[in-house]
Amino acid sequence: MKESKKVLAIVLATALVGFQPLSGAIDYDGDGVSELWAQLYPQLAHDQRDSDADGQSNFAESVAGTDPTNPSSRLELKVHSLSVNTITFEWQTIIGKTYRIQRWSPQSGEWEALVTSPTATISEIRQVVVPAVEPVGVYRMSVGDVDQDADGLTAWEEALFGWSDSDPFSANGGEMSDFSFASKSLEAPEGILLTDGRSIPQRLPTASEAARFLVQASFGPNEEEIEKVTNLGFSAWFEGQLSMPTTTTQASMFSTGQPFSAGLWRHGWWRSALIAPDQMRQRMAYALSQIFVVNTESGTVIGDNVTTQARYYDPLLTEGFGSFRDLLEHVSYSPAMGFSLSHLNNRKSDPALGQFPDENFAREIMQLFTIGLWKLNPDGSRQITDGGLFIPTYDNSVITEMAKVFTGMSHSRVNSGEIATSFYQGAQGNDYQYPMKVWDEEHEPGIKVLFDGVIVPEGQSGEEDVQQTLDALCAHPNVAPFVSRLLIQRFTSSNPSSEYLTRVSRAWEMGEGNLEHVMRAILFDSEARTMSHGGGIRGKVREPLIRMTHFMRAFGELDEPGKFGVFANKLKSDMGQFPMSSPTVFNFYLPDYLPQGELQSEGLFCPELQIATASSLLATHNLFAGTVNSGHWVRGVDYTQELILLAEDNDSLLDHFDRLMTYGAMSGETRAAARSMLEVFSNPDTKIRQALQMIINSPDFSILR
Amino acid sequence: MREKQENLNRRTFLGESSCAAVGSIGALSTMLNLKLMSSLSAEEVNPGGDYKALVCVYLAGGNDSFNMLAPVDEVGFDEYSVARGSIGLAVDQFTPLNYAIPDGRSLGIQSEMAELAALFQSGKAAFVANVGTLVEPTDLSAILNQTAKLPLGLYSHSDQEIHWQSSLPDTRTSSSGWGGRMADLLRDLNEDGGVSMNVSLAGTNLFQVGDSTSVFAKNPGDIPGITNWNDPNPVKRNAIQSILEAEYENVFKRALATRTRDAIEAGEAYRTALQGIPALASTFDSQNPLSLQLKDVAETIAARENLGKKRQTFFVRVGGWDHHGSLNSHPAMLGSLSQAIGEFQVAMSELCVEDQVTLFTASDFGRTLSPNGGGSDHAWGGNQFIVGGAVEGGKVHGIYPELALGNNLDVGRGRMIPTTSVDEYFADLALWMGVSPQNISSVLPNLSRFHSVVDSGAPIGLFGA
Repeated sequence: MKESKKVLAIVLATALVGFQPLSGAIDYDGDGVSELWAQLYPQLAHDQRDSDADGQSNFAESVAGTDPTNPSSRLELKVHSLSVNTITFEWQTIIGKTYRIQRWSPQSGEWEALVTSPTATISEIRQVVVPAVEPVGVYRMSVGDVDQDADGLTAWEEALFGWSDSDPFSANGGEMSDFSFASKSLEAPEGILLTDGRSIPQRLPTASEAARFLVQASFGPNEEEIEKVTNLGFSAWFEGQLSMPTTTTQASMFSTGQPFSAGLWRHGWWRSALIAPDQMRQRMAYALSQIFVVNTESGTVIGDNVTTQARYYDPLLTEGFGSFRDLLEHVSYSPAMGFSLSHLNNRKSDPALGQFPDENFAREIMQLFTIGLWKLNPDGSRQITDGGLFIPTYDNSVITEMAKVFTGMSHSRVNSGEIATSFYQGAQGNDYQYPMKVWDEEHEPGIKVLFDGVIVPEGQSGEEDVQQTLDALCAHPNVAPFVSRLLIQRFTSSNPSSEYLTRVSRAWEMGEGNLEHVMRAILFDSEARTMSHGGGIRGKVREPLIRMTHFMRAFGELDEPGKFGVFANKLKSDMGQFPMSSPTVFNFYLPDYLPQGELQSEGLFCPELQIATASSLLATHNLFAGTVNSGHWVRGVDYTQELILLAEDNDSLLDHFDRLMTYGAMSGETRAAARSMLEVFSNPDTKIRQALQMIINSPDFSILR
Repeated sequence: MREKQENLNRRTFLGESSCAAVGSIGALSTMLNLKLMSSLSAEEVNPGGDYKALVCVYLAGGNDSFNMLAPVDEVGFDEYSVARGSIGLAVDQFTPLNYAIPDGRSLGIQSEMAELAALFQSGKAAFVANVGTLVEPTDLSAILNQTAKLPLGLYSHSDQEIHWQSSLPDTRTSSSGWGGRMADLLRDLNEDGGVSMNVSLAGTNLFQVGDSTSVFAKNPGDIPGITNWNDPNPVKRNAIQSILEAEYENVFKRALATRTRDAIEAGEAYRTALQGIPALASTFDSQNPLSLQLKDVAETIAARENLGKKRQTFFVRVGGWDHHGSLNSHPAMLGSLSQAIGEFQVAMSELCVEDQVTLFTASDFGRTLSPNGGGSDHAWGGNQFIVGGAVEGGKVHGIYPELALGNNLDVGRGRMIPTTSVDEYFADLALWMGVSPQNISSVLPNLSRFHSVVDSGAPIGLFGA
């Protein structure tokens, strides 16, 4: 029977989006086409048009990596030869592309993969032999991209850059991830010379891309900042932010024009969020304040002293792109934290009194600030035993032991600034601005047995015990994925893919906990930079507070001294949050909050919806509408003459709002609702206010995608 | 609509002195009879329980409840004082309850809790001793051998709060609370639509989230709504609605739009239901945050007929119980708690629903008996109380533990292994609300590890045998 079979192969060579990489490519505009390819053919539409009339559309050629301007450059599967029961196919490879031969199955009614050919490392005519099962077969070829090192760049892109697709840090000596370096290279004024001899011109962000980037990296885009990003590029803006002098809240609060009060620090924070030039640093400190949570609402020794508040917060600014270890030390020694988690004045055991060290800080520094409850893989998933159980990072004995480490901590200054001479001296409000000291007289002596066999030996001073413990916590493999996830949730995505989290954790490890590297990895990732990435499940609900600062930065009256007051209590009660006012150390919301409904059934976390009750959702709605109208609670909204002139043309005004508020991604419905307001009202000022009320309360504005 | 009007008129007519008559409006509506035939077993439409509500008072942070309820006889108090050391109270800081537990010790209540003491004495309040989260029955040797299956994240706030609310301490990914699952069974007793039967005055919570039942979470004193929503000119309202009803490709946009639509709808239904409800004569302390929440609960219960509810749950919460640094403020906090609950009971009496509303406390965990200086640390079993006319009051249910450190319930520093599981505690409450013994496992899946309701009835007997 076999001998009599005569093969007749019908071959369709088709370029397909057969298997895109999981982690995407460098694709800022989200059109599914690598920016590298787009820059090679900048004049071409990247769609179904076929500029070289070779039968393959420009988009298909972008997937295949072929030249859309040259009809002889096209993906074509050819039959090289036929034998009795095999077919030999051949085709021209492009470096970095992966090819798959598929056969139509009449039985299943689907294309079945027959052969996946290894990713091409050279340009060649490749031949592959496949069995011919039936005398008549319909075959086709699909081509796609892979990202073997899951760094967010495809093998094709890495090949053109001359980097390796098996190492996410193969460019630039590992200083930054390949994706970050690719972003930077694309924005270089001189362009890029690719490994195949072609060169591409500089690519700078569009205004919409810049606005979306600023939604992630600042307290909100405005015209001025968008222009900076479009002129400089993402990377140069980022580097510029790192080198900018820090605007401290200590300085800012005295520039608000507000009278001195226990609420002055909050006005200072508000001013910084709205006008400080070092916006990215301000955002980072705010994110960190939601990890290292201290409540500074009035009524306590911390809440009533604005200098203490500033001295707690300002290191989150100055060290926000420094080492995590330094931040953890600041937090651990801060009397504000010591007051909140009661390790200030924590005393050693007293067997006679049946008294033991306070366990509060010992527990939360592990559970919330560093390693969490469960052992993690680098991608943030929990490690599982053979029996299918999660593995705790520590048990209660570790907490009682660690509680001993954090004994003996008390004020270093007392009586309004005098150098302290013992653990027991009383302190005044102003003394809470100085780091605590570890006093051996109340420090628990002896060995302490911590997690994973870490031993704090006998005979060390209290200071040595604390320092060793902070080192051990920062060396724990959980820290990178645990804290990276918390930070990603604050900036870009409530549910980062495991690949994204792996890349950020890896940057953490490469930089040894330097948060500059972590922030770069968070922002310069395909999952953060590509709006359509992951379809409809990526992104996040933006914090109501950041929606408010966004609006104020875009439209607030920010050039007048004395305008930087804020009714913090009103904002807190309406929106459910204001900086440094979470009721507990668990922050305003939990990272694993699963809201009832579709998100829960899809297993998608959404921390910010934990504070979205019926009351707070609608109070926030009213607060935002009221702010657009009068700005009363945030003191000062003023629509400029330019804006009022723009209101003469509805389309121009809506385009302007779209760029500033929704980074050019406003839905048809929101635009229509805003337009209906523009058509109902005639006074330009009223038109602006009514249309903005629609936009500020729309899901388009509230969600970052 | 006519039926509602009749009920309202009848209550107005009968006035305050006729609680008994109102309580016996027993005839089930046609709707309920239809529901009976379709989905509910007989117990779930108990004609005697025309209206019932549960109020969960959540004490966030872990109440140091062995300073709330302590032995005051000579031997028992001595044991208490030794264990508690510097954080122990003086014997005259407790009001004797004149109530002896089986081992002969007699108990006292922290003396700031005058209202609760009076409710106990009048048989309208009871304690449940040493209750806590358990995966299965266990003991000290199993824990020391590390063979015990223990609640995940034991002693951690965030985990134990979730476990107390889900009653599923063996998972960290609970998607529903036991109150929500109970509501899934009981909600058919209510009229459809409008405001959820689960109302929170303290934000989102897991306790009230069911598979099909959602939570109406509002701030005390607030009627959620968009300003000028009912303006005769519909232009703005229409525009807002068109944005909220759009079909979004992104799941977060859909979730936020849905939540906002639900909030508007529920807020409007709530506003309508409260119209015409006379103000309560009972007063609540405007300086006490718990009083403000319970006042709202009372007002919502007053509107139960307009809301179309035969069953409701309420969630209120008061924080600040995590007394690591110092227990100095603890007595006053217990006093505020007691005051608010006393006010609430007066309001329930005014509304003639004293026997139909049961309030119960829950808290993350008890605290270490031994001090850390001025405060205490996270522990496990603790004491709770329940209040209401239906309660088998004047009793301490469960087993009040020995307080000597190193006893066979002490896993260290006086962290007590619970002698009653949260499942048992909640089963009594759920059965009282009308969940049938046959269906209780869907509310409390782990209950059968501790107790068979079908064979032995309510586990504790909080509402009598």
